[in-house]
Amino acid sequence: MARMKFLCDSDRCIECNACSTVCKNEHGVPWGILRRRVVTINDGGPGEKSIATSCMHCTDAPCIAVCPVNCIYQTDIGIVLHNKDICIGCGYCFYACPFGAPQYPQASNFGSRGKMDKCTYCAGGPEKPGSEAEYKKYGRNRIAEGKLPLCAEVCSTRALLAGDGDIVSQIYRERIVRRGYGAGAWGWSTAYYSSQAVQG
Amino acid sequence: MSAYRVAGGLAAALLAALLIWMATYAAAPKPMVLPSVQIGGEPGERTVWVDRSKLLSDRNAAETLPAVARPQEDVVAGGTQAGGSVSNPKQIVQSWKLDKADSQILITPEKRTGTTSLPYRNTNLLEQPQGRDWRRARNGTVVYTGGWLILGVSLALALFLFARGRIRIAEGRSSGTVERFNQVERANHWMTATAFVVLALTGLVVLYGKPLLLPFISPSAFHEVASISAWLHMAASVAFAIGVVAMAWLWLRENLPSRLDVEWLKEGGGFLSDGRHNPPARKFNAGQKIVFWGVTLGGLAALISGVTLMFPFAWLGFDGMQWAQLAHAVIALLMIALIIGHIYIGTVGMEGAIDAMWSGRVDRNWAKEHHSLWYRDISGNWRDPDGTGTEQTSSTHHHHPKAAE
Repeated sequence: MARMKFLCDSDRCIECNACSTVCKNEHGVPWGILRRRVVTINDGGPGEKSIATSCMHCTDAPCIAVCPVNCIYQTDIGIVLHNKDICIGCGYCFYACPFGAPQYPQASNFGSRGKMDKCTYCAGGPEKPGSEAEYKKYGRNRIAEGKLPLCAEVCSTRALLAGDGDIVSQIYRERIVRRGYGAGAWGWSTAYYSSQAVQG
Repeated sequence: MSAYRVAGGLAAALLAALLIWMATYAAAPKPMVLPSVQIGGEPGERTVWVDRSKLLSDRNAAETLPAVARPQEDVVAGGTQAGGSVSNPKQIVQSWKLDKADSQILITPEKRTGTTSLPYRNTNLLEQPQGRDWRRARNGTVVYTGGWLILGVSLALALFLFARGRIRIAEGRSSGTVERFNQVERANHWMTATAFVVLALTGLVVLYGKPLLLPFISPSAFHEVASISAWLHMAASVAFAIGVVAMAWLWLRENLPSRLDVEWLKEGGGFLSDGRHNPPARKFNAGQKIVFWGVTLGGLAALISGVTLMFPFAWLGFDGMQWAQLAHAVIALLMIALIIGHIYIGTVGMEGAIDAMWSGRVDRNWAKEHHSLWYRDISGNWRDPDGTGTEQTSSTHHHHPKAAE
């Protein structure tokens, strides 16, 4: 069985923003909501690196733990999904998320945010896969079609890798060996190996 | 044994059982999040996404190496249904344990921000591993501190009621009353009290609803309860804010600490013995002053942290918002524990106390026993035990009441 992960090879990312653009297009993500974004560190300086970041679909996901209504859940292949019919827009998942992934439509007065939206790993939500209801709330369900997330599929430099964690990690490690350097897997220690139970 | 003591004993037994039940959870290792929905086929089964990932691997290799011819394989499981429940979640999480190979590519977690061209707040965040610490603090420290506080204070009060019974008016009720709180004071007290109870209950739904309420009702019903709670919590805060400010304005002067308070506290307010003698007190004794300062200072802190949470990231960053949430919860839980004590002593715990806030007039003997100096000041005849009728309060007159005329 698979354990789905994201890995961004920051030595390859050229900050073209194709991943975040195609995500918005594929899922009809509204204005102001960003399921994936590109962050640049040391911008304009030596050691500049860009990293495409989104929900990492963590092991022992803190957003699920703090959600007061249990609207976020994890699947057996690691993908973290949410149920918009249950969300109350409290914003706790945003305080807990190590990657700033949860997004809320129009932060209106008095913290009454709309229902949370975040990367679904192109796996929709609890509605029937491929249904209109699912598309309206969560966007396309590529996982149900046996496909991988579109952001990684369109990456022109193949910096962003999505798929089974073991294989993705192996691809990255082979690259490091071949080219002789690698900045490391951004966010992996926090996302996948942070709690005692998963440190082996 | 009075009915009060029996009730106190029963409540103490129940609360002790709840405390022990909670302590077992507090002592157990904190649970990991487990997968709950199955979309990936049976364990051990090859899935379509693994094959897809292998294709990715081939494409990657083809960048520098000759293309690999992969043998055509049978169609494998995949293509998800809506998803059933996971039968072996712990086993799945076990399989996600750290692989030796992965340990080579890990980076030390630390807070990192960068630059983006996006016009929205917090989009420059790369990583804030402290989110996991906040989760541990909220789900562990805060949740169990609240449990110890609320159950512990309730248990202590039940044990006190069991051991001591209700505190009676030692001389029995007299035939007369004196005014203690006027209409404005009472109206403000009950507005603040109603707002506080609404705030407390709705806040408790958000903190404890998932473990304590959700198992008993449907997720959609719980969603309704939680949404209404979140909305009511913010609505009630307005009334609470007004009430606390008015309370401070009405009662601040009489609640300034004095030397009498030390004596009062040393003697435990006289609650521990049955005798007529209680330590002297003016309008507010040290216990009531503690409630006053707890409500005004605690209320102020809760309001400041609460307003901060209403406008997320308006003036604080991640650290600030996380601390604001923790502070808000701890302050609120302390206040709830304090108010449980306040409600107890004002109703069940002491005969005649509720009258002060209900009708506004208290029995003369009650006033004499618990607020001797205040009673002397307003009646001028505190040595006269008979209480000859209802008397208008005045801090100056020293005449016998009108009823005697």
